[in-house]
Amino acid sequence: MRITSAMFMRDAVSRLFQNRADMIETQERISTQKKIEKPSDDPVGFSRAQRLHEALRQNEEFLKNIDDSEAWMDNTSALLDQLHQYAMDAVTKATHGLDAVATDDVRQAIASQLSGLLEEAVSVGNSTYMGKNVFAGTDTKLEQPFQKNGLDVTYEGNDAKIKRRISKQIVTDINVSGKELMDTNFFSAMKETIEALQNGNKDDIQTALDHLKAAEKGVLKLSTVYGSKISNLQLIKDRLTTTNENFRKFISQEEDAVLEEELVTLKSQQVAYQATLQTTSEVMNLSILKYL
Amino acid sequence: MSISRILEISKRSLLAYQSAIKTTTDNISNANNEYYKRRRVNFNELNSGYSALGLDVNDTQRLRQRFAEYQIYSENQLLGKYQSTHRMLSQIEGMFDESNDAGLSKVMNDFFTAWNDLAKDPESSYARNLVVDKANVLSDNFQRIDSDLQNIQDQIKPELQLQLKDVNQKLGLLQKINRQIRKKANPDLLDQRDKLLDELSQKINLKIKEKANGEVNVYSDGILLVSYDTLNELKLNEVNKNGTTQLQIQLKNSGHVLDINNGEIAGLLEMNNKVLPDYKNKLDELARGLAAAVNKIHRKGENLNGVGGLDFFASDIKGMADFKVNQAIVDDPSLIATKYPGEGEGSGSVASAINDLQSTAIFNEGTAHEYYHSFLTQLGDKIQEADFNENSQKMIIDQLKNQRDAVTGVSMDEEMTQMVQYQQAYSAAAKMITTVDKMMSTVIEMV
Repeated sequence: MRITSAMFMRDAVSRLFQNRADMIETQERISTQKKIEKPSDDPVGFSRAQRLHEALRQNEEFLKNIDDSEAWMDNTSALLDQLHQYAMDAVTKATHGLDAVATDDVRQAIASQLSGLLEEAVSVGNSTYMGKNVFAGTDTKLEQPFQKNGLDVTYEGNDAKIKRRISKQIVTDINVSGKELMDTNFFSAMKETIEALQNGNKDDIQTALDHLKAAEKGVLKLSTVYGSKISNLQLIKDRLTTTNENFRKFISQEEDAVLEEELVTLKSQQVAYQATLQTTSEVMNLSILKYL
Repeated sequence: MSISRILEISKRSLLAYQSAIKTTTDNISNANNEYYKRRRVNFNELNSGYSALGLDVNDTQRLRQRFAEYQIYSENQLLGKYQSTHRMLSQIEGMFDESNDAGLSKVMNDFFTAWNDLAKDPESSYARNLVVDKANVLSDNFQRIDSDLQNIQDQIKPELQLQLKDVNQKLGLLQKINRQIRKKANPDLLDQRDKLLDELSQKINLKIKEKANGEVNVYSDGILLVSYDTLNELKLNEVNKNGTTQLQIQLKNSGHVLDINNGEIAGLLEMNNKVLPDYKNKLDELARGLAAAVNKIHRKGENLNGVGGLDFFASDIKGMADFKVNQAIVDDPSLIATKYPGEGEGSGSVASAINDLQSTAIFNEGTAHEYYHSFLTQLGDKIQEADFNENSQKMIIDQLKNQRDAVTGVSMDEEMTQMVQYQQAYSAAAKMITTVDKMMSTVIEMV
């Protein structure tokens, strides 16, 4: 085959261009630290990385939801604890009313102490967090969800749950509604006890005290169940955090350039390029003209 | 035989080698001209009667490698198409830069996140304003993509017109060359003809028929474009089909539409007629589907004051171009629905349901994100394919050019060797003349 100088040049130039293109690609990967910048760099890898990015982003949204919910729930939980404390105080105080030594005066005094506790309990029920009613279901903007009229406490909010999405599959309730508080019969038992103490009938006081004790248990149960919800939330949070760490790792594997690998590639491409340049220039210099 | 006969032979030799050296010079000076075909002198022995009269140089012969040449013409057509396709697709890819904060993915995310924030805080007007803000950014983004696609599409027509002008000019030149060749063939004209054919074959699909005298007939899609007496110039025509402007190539004279399926022009046509409308449709569907899904939920909800039944996005969105938030909501963000009728203010159930759309398969391809990513992945695939095709096509053509040049290319070493050879022969012929001169003097002195 005749090899002409034009053929030789064409091959040499196209090889040099190819080497240069390879080097630029490697250089780009090194300077951006990314293997995949555009979909066309690696369509399959790109779509995998995008899916991971999307899942990661959603999880971070869920984590943020969990953080927000935790703040709300910690507050609610503290309020429930307080309510339980009032209930226990009420039980202890009312028990004194049954003591053999208790006089009418003592019972009246206890009754007024219990009234004070009831007042406190209602104000706990009316507490707000960041401008929202804590125990009003979704009627978060009511003036006072719990209305106290004499010793009667009525609830004006609803029984709805405030929901938060905390993972792709799980939506959780974060509130305790006022209806649930009412259902413990704490307020009505308080009223019953106070009235019995004021009237001084020991049997009535005993019955009322039993009701109050049951209500105290009810509040405790409410508080405990709610507390376990918080620890559940913590579990989900931990799981999401671990998942996200994995996602980040996968994304990095998919997208990030491995510097050592790229540097070695660049080095070998450099060598190839230099070798091509050198041999090209040497062969190009060969000509019969030198020998004529 | 007389002595003067020898003188005549020597003279002819001198002229023959002079002409051979001229051909060698031609070859050398065109060594780097891609379209130049190496020429070779044919030395024919002259015969007259019984005795040789010396050397004569017939027309120099222009070497050909017809097979490779024709292969190059047909491979060029594919290369042209791959190149223009690759170029346009890369431009499109550049529009969807997802590595920065303005990418559509990011903007869609922000939109959904704003609904999540509203779901957590449905009583607040701040969260409502944020939703409107993010929705506006989303609609700006859709509109930007729409106009970017339009810009790319708009540049195709003028480019095609330029290309066609170029093609027409080349066709005209080919006809001129055909006419001159019929009068008198000339290797320089043939070189020029080959150059035109090579360039033309990168633009459109064509078939070339060459006659024995070197005239060519060029056909495209079975229609004779140029011959000795025919010249069919091309022009661009627009037709409206299904609301999109389709471009087609037709003959200037008769209006006959040519099916151009290869070459740069075909790449541009396909981009304009098929690829870009396809991409636009896909993204329009994304915009439409997203707006419809959000509206469907939003309509069922109501705001804090119990006003409901409103669409969040404009009701009659056809695509990216008219993707916008319902004007009533822009004017008064408090109209954004967060809850279903009858629920308390603190229920963000509607906002939450809209937020959940980000992981709901509202398209056949899945969620809005998955839809968009599968769109991008397909685009990336196409570009990779075009890139690969372009590179391998270039290699094929380089290979063919090497095959062609193996026969027709100029080799310096060969030419120099021949020059030395001819030069020596020339000196020898001159020596012959002095020798004959001496012989003649000898004869004269004899008298």
